[in-house]
Amino acid sequence: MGPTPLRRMTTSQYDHTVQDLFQLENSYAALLDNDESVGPYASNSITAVSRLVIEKYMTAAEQVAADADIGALDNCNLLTSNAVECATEFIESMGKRILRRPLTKSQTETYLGLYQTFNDRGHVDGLRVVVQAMLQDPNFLYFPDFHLHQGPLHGKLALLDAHALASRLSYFLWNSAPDDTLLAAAEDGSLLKEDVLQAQAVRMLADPKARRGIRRFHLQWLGADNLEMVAKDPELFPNYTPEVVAGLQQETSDFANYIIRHGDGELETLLTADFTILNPAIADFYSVPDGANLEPDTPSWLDSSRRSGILTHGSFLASQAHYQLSSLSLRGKVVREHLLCQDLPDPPPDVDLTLPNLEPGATTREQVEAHAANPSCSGCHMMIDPIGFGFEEFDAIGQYRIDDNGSPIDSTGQMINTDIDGEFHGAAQLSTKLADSQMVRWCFTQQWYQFALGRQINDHDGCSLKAGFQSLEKPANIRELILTIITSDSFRHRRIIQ
Amino acid sequence: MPKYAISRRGFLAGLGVSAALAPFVPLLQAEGAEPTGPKRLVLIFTPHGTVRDQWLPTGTEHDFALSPILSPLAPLKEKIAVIDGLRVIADTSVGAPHTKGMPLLWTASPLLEDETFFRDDGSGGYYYGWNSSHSVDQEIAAQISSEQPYRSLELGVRTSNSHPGHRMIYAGPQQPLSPEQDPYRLLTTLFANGSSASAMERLRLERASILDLVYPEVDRLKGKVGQSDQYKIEAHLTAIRDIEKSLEQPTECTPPVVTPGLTPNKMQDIPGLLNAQSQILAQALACDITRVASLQLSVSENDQNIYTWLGVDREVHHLITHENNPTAKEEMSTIYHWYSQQVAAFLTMLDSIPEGDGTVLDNTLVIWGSEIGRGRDHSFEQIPFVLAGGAGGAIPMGRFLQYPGVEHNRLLVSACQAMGLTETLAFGATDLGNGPLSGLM
Repeated sequence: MGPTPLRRMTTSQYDHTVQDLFQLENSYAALLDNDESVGPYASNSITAVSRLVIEKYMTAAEQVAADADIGALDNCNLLTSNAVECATEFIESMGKRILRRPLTKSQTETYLGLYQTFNDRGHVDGLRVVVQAMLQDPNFLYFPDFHLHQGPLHGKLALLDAHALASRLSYFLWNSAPDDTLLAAAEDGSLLKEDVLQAQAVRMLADPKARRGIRRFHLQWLGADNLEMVAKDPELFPNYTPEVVAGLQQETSDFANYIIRHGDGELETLLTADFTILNPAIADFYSVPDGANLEPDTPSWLDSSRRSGILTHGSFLASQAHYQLSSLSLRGKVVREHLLCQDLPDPPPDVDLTLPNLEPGATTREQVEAHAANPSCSGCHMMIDPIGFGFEEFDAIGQYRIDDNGSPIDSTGQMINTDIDGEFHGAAQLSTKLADSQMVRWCFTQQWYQFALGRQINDHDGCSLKAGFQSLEKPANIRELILTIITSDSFRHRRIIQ
Repeated sequence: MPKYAISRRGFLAGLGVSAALAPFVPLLQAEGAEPTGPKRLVLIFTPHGTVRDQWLPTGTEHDFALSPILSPLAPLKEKIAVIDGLRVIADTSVGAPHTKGMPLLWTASPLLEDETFFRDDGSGGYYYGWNSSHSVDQEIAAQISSEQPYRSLELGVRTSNSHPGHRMIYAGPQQPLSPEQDPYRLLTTLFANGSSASAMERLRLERASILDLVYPEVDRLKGKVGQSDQYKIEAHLTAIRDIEKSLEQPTECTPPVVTPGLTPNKMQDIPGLLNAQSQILAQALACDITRVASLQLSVSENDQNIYTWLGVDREVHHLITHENNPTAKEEMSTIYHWYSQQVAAFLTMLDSIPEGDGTVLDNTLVIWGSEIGRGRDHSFEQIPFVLAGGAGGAIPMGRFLQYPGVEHNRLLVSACQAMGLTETLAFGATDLGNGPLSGLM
């Protein structure tokens, strides 16, 4: 399996972690420095921290500790116990949660010393400073993959210890810290047994917090996680508001959540479902008739000749498009790279993107076809544009259209260099083809592994990947894939790199 | 108090002068004159090169006319030097042009050839990593800014996530220094804004004690993580030490008055954000919070901004650069002209702060550059460089110099020498030559 570099938690992981630990609703992500990514998935695994990064952890910790109701987390009664006993108890119980493993005796003493320095303004204020410090402790900020149960075995492979495994599991599924139940399974060592690990994973998938991992995966997979950064012409699209942007991301998140946690869990459904999960912000966007079902976690059936599956969601279509125009190349590229795992070269440096002056009323498709006829472009564009043609029924913000620039839409596309080669009409047929592809299943497996591990996967991960792929044999079940990843060698081990 | 700190009143009077009304200040310092303030360095980045025939001045070294794009710098003409013709040695680095161009600009060192990122770069390479070495400002900062509360300050506007094509300043291999994009956060951290003295003192004590506690915990990880992760631990320890050092020397500096209500990262707020960041940087330099800084607008891979406030609202900047037609050329010229206006505004801020016999600008070396020369074909030739200030007379200003085909390492060496690193003769792993730009100093 591939080497695991030392990783720091991402901004969204930090956010969920402090929200869970201190029952907070605020977001703290904006107080932190931006993340790096491994492939499409945020993971702080390569670069070293700068002063700014650490300074931001410092000020974020101050904000979190100030916002948290520390007194409510302190179960001690100062009338019956003395303050140092109370503080010790707090440090041990909160420390275990924040640092995700029991504190050593010396850690507890160090934190107690800090408490005693700063309890001059009251017991709870002393505890607040303790929390503030724990949120800057490297054992909080970094994933503890260096804590090993056994190893290195077989040369360079080492088995994670139970607490390190618990962290991996909870940050994968919940994008947040382990809860007390998971910590208990780590503490008695039972989490190292495959059946206990599996049972914990099943329990955690059933918890609403599993929505977060599902959301993070799918939005990043489709390149729709930064949709708010993709500008659209406000004159052409006056109704494309920040609320709609958030609503579209919510739709994709809710839809994937419904299929994986409540529905049949099948990849085919994800790609071809004739329903979605609406929310009030996007009712107008999808021209939903009055009285349509906007309840959370309740499917709404759509006109399946127009919309079917996750690739017809506004979040994907709007993120892979321009300011004014649709982009069949960008949409086709995501299908090639993230669904088929076929990487494409960058455009040649001397490319001229001036669209040819065709007669008035020319469609985007006609302009791009004339443009990509240039031999230096056509090599790659024949890989992506004919896929993108299938999405031409959707404009720059992903709304359905019946004409482009006054001319009828031709959404006839062509798939080449795959196991599903051939012609198709529109996004619905394209999605049906993709759902039939072994290449898509293999790629989807790789994408999930990369997301779960937060690192590059390579040939050394082959055995684990193969197991994941087999769990996606038809009917390809995403829930099974997630459970297979968790019990795989790649998830439970770490390769030591020197 | 820092040695060169100026009075608050003097500073505010200086900043009160708007860019448009700033008086023309004649060059006060002849070559060789004693410097009257500390030397400072500021690197400025704007994306995607320029439109050369609209950028290139006409005339000779001392008798030249500024081009349409550079015309906003006319009031400061005697305090700038336009440097034409330099090229970046890029062919030895893996990575696609917009990706490697940004780190190459100030590090002159290639991206690492590892498997961190995967993308065909169009010339046979598929894998690339983060940058392999530090940038020139950090080399200089280690010499001239190590006593300041901040060794260097990185400021930016809409600089996106952490990726080699988005980061230009490096403390070392795989150690990009992200710019701060939030002016309001800077106001709080740099100027201790809005807190009472006793609250600040208490917070300072908490911070110092917590960092004392955390430091050995980080240090302990050295023995737990592998050799290949040691640089992360070292960087974390350095960051803590740097913060601790500035806790010991709190600055007294009046924060500039910045437009309220801006949203960091919001495209429509770019003009306001850039102005706010410029004001903050000018004040931070004047107060000697640091002597080395950088200001980064957007990213090199790729500038996805739509310059709606300029009426260029058809397409994002990056895609316009890949069009070869008159409309695109006009739109790009409009964008680059606006860049000049923003740089001129920043320089005017520095120039309106008196220091010694001159101004803060006079004692500063500003280098404004871009990751490529021309966007359309990602040309690494003819990078549009403009210098300003001249570092207390070290580099005479009011000039137009042409160095056709000379590698830009020479400019980076000139910067080192102008800032007092007189022994420096080469900079960056791509450096093939020797010494500074001939005739510049």
